[in-house]
Amino acid sequence: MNKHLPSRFPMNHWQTSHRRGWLLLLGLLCGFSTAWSQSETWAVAKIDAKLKKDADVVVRVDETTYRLNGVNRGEERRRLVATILNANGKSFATYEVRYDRTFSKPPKIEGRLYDAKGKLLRKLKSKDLHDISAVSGGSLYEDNRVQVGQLIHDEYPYTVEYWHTQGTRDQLLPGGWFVQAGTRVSVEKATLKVDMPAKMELFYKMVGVEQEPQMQVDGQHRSYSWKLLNVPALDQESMGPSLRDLLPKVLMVPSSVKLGKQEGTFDSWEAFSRFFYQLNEGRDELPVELSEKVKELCADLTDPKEKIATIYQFLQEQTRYVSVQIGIGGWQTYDAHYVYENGYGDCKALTNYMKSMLEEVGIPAYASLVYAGSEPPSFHADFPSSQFNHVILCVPMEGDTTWLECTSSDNPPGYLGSFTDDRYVVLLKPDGKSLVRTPKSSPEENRRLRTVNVKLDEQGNAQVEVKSVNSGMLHDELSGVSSQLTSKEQESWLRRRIDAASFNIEDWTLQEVPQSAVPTWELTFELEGKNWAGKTGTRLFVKPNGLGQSLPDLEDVSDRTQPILLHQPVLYQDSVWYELPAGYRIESQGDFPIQVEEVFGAYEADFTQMEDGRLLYTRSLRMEHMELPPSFAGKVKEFLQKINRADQLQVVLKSGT
Amino acid sequence: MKALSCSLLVGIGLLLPAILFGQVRKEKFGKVSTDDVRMESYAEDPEAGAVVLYEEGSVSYRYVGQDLQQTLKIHRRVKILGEGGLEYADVSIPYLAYRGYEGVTNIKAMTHYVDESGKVQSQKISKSDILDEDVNGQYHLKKFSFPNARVGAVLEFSYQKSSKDFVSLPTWVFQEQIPVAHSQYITNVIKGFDYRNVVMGGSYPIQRSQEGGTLNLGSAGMMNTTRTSYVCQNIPALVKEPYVSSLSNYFYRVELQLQGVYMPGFSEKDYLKSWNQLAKQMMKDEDFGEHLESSKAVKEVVPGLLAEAGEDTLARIQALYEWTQKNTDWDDREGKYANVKEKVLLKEGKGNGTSINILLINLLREAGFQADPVLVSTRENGLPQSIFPTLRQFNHTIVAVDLGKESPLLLDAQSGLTPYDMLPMQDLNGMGMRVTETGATWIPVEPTHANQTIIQLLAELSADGQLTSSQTFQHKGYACLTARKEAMAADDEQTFLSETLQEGFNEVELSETALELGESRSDPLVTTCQLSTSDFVQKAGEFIYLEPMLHQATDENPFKLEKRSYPVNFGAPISERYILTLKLPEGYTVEEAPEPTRVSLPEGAGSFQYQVMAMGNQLQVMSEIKVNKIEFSPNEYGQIRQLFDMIVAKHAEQVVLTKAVESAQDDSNE
Repeated sequence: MNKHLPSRFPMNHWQTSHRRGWLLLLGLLCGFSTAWSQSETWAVAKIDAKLKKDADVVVRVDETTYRLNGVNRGEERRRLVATILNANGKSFATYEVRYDRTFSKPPKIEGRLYDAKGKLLRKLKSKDLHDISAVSGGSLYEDNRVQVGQLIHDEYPYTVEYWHTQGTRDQLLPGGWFVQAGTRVSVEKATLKVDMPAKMELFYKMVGVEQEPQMQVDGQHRSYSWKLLNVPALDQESMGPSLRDLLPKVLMVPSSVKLGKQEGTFDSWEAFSRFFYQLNEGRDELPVELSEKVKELCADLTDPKEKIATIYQFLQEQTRYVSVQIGIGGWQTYDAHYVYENGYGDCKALTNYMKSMLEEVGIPAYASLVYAGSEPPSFHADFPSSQFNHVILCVPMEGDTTWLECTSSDNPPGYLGSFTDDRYVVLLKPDGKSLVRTPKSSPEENRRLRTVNVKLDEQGNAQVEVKSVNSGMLHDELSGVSSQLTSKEQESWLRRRIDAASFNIEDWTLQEVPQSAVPTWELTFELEGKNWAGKTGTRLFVKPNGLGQSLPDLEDVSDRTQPILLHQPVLYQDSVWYELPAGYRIESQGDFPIQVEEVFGAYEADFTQMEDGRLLYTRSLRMEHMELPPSFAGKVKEFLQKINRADQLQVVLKSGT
Repeated sequence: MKALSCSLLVGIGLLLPAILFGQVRKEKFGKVSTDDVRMESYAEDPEAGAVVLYEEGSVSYRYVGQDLQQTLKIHRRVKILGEGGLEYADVSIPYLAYRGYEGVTNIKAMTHYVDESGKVQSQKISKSDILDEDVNGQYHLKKFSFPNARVGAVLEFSYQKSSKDFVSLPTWVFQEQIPVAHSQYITNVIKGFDYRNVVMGGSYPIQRSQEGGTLNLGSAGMMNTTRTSYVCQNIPALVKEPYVSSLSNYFYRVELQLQGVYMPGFSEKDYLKSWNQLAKQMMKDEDFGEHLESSKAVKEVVPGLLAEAGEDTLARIQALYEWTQKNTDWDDREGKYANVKEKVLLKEGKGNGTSINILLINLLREAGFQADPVLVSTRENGLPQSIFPTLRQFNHTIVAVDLGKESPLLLDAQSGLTPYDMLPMQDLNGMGMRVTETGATWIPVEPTHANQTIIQLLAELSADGQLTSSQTFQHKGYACLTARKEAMAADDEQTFLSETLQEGFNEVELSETALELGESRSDPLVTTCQLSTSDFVQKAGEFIYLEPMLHQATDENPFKLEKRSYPVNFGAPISERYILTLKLPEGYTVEEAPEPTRVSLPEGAGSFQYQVMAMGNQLQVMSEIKVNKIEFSPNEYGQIRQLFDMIVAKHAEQVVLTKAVESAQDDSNE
């Protein structure tokens, strides 16, 4: 009976957040349709050649309307007609509408499929529709679902037309409306219409969109309309901004917002902060046993730093990250009792729990909204709105504020790493300045210091000892491997990480370096390295940067239009010692020393023979955290190429005279 | 075929009734021993992040209304030993909710842990924290997370899963990616239902015992039953290793299949007796056998295609195959049953692989060929077995057509990129079952093409270390299929060419790049270009050092593990040939060059040949790697690893050139 049950459906639209957190309705594009004229035809021949350039998909029409009938009621309508030029645009044959079961019924999607001449081939049938759960990665449960329509055809080009209407008892507006849904997509016509109740306004910010909206007031509603024509396709350039920053968009927030029973406005960051503060107020009462436990833990401590460290360690031992989001649970935290009972919670609940425990010993703290991830999108500080997906805790102290990542089981207190450092956050508090930045780190704090000893034999094989001390951002992987993987898995991780021709691992260790200013881990290993040097007759060919790393190449240099983003400030320092087999001398060596220096980074490599006959190779690479204008492309490429070339230099050893 | 039968011998064994009496344990929910809660590491595997202390599955039956349902009760205890084991605290139980086919009820979960004061605590999960996720309207998940889960805790849960399918018994998997201390499976089946068991994936001692029992079916009265138990202890964790078609092949498990029903009221005494009966059943199926009848469209199109193809048998088969490819598109679904009728397939142009291949059979039969469907299990789906009859293992259908030779030609038109006489890599999984009206025949499913590349360079080296060359790169067989897929996925031809041609270089300038796709899918894919680079050449004083394998050097042994516990499978033979003809710069001679080498693995399983020859001012470099055998057992792993070590060593060798005249002058100056 179950021969034809579909397996799980592919989810192939771009979805922005991995932990929804408080990401306020920054969902997918949503849409509109009314009666439209029958004279429209979708012949591919009618598309302007300019719109086909660099495009896999030409959006013929994309009409979206949001009609708010109150703060918490409304309807979205969308109609999308897209011509798919080739297989790379196939994802547009699938139409997805996200919805939340608590607030909406499943939307009804209709669709049609046309051939290249614009002739109707077929209509969307119920068998082309699927309703699937859309729980984001890292979450145990959410009420999010997605309704999916699919019209697949095998002969390109073809055109799909979709439309749907959906009512909701929730916040209706998404955080932003994107003119294009991705790269290599051009647009003939895109419109956005937002109908606000007459008593309300729409706050908006246009990014990459120039034309101001048309305004209209009729009876019950105040309307804002945008219309964009003939928008060419965009391509993403290497090491450039994220898709989200690249695509033109309109950011939107209604002048009145309501979540559950909480009402407010986002006309300033202070108001935004107050709203979420109040929504989460009164959830910090601790169970009596816990209150006593916390006081007992801190009984002998006077330094607030020690109290923070002690309670943070207690949190890390007693709880773990589990995300369950039902109803407005995406925005409102579970209370401290819930975490105490279950020993788990999501980022909001764990942060609230930590905050409650600190308050118990007289240390005030603020839950802080942040966009987590090592490559965050641009932040619009002039547009108070939810640009966040995560919560951390800020413990303010005179000149020495401590930040706590409450979902981590192994971070030391105060360490944020590339996940949340150096960016804007909003502190949740009843009043006062709320928009602040998390601290920035320097390359010296994010360092890998590596010492390698290589004992070469005359076959080119080697006995190799490596000691690598990693700190800051560069320790993340090591501490993660140590806590998450079994010893066997750690060894296979190490095997994959060693970039050498062929080897057997003879011994290895991985451990924390205690009492370091920034978190630091040490990895050591010993290898029996085969073919460490190439051997031909009387000569050995050695690449002294034996365990090196290869740098990415920068593409899209000529005619570059997008900035170059260097996300991580890091410093790599290597010393490699070589002991040569008896009777070998240096026949030739590369053009050492080599130095390359730019504002965004510096490299140095040198090679010398010591008095005891050993050879020493040193290498240092330092990269800054910077955003460079497109005109820097040539310099960045040259910098990377010079380093790649220098890293490949070889030394030739010869036996005899 | 040889390789496969070997692994079958290792992998599958029939369980004989154990003489030893099974040590079935009886554990009560919630009664976890203090020793288990206080235990700090698992002696059998001290590194494990978690261990399954105890798991029981027991199968029984009950009446729900008019329906007889099967129930599977699960009771499981997992001990968390390290932070990596905490993932076992999040539980998802999948079930098929579609039309109430399956249901999961009576979920109980409890965390047992030692609290700060050193006392053992047990905490139950509350009903409201057990969630039901509707995955796609058909499959659902019961989800929950253990409260206060922490390192050291014992996580215990139990549930009951009911199924309307009371005939097939669930497969029981003893092994996991963490060690299992004790696992038992108990089936209490109605007497007269005769099941055969097959143990797959490993060899650990199982204690099996059988006894008579009874089952109270309420109003249906008491039934006599057969109670069988399987107990297995101390099963090590199965660790992932690279180059394996599917890890699921290797989990140690017992599969049970109904062999016959011997009881009054059942007319068909043998429920599933033989492969022949299964074949006949498939032939009668409305989504398989009934599709084997040409539609009007097929009858109309065949004469024209044959007339165009001419008299040659293979040309005719090719024409019919290519017509099928052109007129159908795979819908990304799999299955051994056709999911669309032939008429719909031809009208809408899409269907699953079985639908497409049944269309091809109809075309071939219409053209007078003897063609039949062959049921297969794809590489990802796991190895097929021919020992006990079951259809469950198959997930795809291909085509066998007789050519009057010993073995038939196998075809699969699902992909639009394969030539007619080549099966996609995913089909190459040892064997398949040919299905005809009269019965079933097992036939080998083996590659007829290799993964083959030939690269030729005609180059010139200048005295300042610049290398310029013309390059012709041919991809044949599976290498051609891979390259075609990449070319299709690229934004355009130029992007594909510049990406593939730059591979292996640090800096290279390319010109006159061209791509030849050939006229048919059987033709090789060829790229040609002119290139100029200073990579692979280092100039130092009177010397020029040259890496003669250029960008084609195998610089890492792909087999990094010292030992393996399951086989390496290449899917198809490999053949890589490299030829460089290099004109040396004026006045330079070869001072030192790699020695030629030739190594072969036993029984022609693989070989490596390499030589560098200097002739006048020209250098000839030749390298050829061949792997003829498809599967290497863990015992043979050392051979293949060593072969690649030799290749890496040879490919790392360099040619030393010296400027003859000037160096002589230098010497005289000194």
